[in-house]
Amino acid sequence: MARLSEQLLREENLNYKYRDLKAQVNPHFLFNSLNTLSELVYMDAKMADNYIQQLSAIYRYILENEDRDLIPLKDELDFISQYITLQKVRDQDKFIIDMDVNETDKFKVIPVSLQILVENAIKHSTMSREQPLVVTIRQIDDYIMISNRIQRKSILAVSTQKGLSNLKERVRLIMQRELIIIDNEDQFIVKLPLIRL
Amino acid sequence: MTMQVLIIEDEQLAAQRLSRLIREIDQNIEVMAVIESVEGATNWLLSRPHPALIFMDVQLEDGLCFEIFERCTIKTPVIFTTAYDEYSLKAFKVNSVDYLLKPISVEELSHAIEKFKSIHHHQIDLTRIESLINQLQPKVKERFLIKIGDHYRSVPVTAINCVFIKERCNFISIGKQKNYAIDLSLDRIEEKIDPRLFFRISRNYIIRYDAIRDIIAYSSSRLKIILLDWDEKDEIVVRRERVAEFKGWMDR
Repeated sequence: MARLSEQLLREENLNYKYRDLKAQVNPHFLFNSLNTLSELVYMDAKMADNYIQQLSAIYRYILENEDRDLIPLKDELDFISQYITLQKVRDQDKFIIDMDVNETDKFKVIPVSLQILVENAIKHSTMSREQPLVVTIRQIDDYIMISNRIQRKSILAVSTQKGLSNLKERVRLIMQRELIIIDNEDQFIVKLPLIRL
Repeated sequence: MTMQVLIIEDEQLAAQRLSRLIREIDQNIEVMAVIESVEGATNWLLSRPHPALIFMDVQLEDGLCFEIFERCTIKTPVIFTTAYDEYSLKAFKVNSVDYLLKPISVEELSHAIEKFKSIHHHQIDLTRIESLINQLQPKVKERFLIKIGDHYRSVPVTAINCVFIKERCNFISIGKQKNYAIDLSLDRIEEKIDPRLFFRISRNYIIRYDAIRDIIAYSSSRLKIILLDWDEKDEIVVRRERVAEFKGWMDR
């Protein structure tokens, strides 16, 4: 009986991973990045080269780690920094990230989880030069906290709305812990559990 | 003769690329302005003579470009641009102006501009643009299927007094002791119901006009709503930022 439910759990786990994989490789991100790149090559060859390297690193990270349950926090943070760099080339001053995480070599995290949360904030928020979107990333004990002021888009773009709920499910299955979502009037806060090494 | 066009695009490099390609294709085309938001575009179009042609990115910094059509009348042909075709614009491509996928290629853009010029002499059929907008907008729902234990029940939208979030779950309220969980977020529900009947008063509540029993002035310039058959303990309050719009909606 125990073995059967274990088996079911494992299958469920695999299913979620598969669904998540689709959510991770956001076609908008890829094609918008390529569009940006197609202008960068005319503007600044060196910058374009750099952009290509970062874009490759991002997709390599996703491809290499999609099957893993956990990854050193440091690797995920490097990955998210690259993702943010590319996003900022596109959104420029409209998007500000305030990241301050210190004990990166003491924890593990679910791969691509931070990126899903940052992308989620971008997807749901209005951003302009006058009122940029500020995403804050902090470490509090064995959590990474990602928060942003709520600046809701009046109509949300078509989305699968699966990113957050899938991540919640994966946290539950892989870590046996809960992704904490605090959605109050002004702030949207997500606390992502970490596992101490 | 110079032809004036407007670019509505929220990413600077994308706008720059489009402007550059347009110049390469036809030096007589002048880009009047680049606008980055629904609000900016609406204001611009309400206060100035319209260009001959508009290039419009689907996702803008404060929402979707289709909102612009709701806020002002556009008689100008539009070429849509998008990174990923999730709105099935293909059907539209057959009948009318055009749409371009990013990264935009010079051939496709050139073809779109040629196509525009060839139909430019004829009046653009506005109904085509309207039909596109209707096609792109989620249809208003008549009823929701919900599951109550082992039973399914279809609830007409007009029976819903309010939709609310409690303990991170979404519910519809259709009467005393009749609050049922629903598997859609408030954002999704809001998109699918008639905005003439329903109003989003806060992050956690959407209420129906006919279910409002009383409206009471409340602390810090908010409004408290007394709702038909509401038996939850929580108070229903119109958040401060929504009060002005809510009053407008109640007095339309």
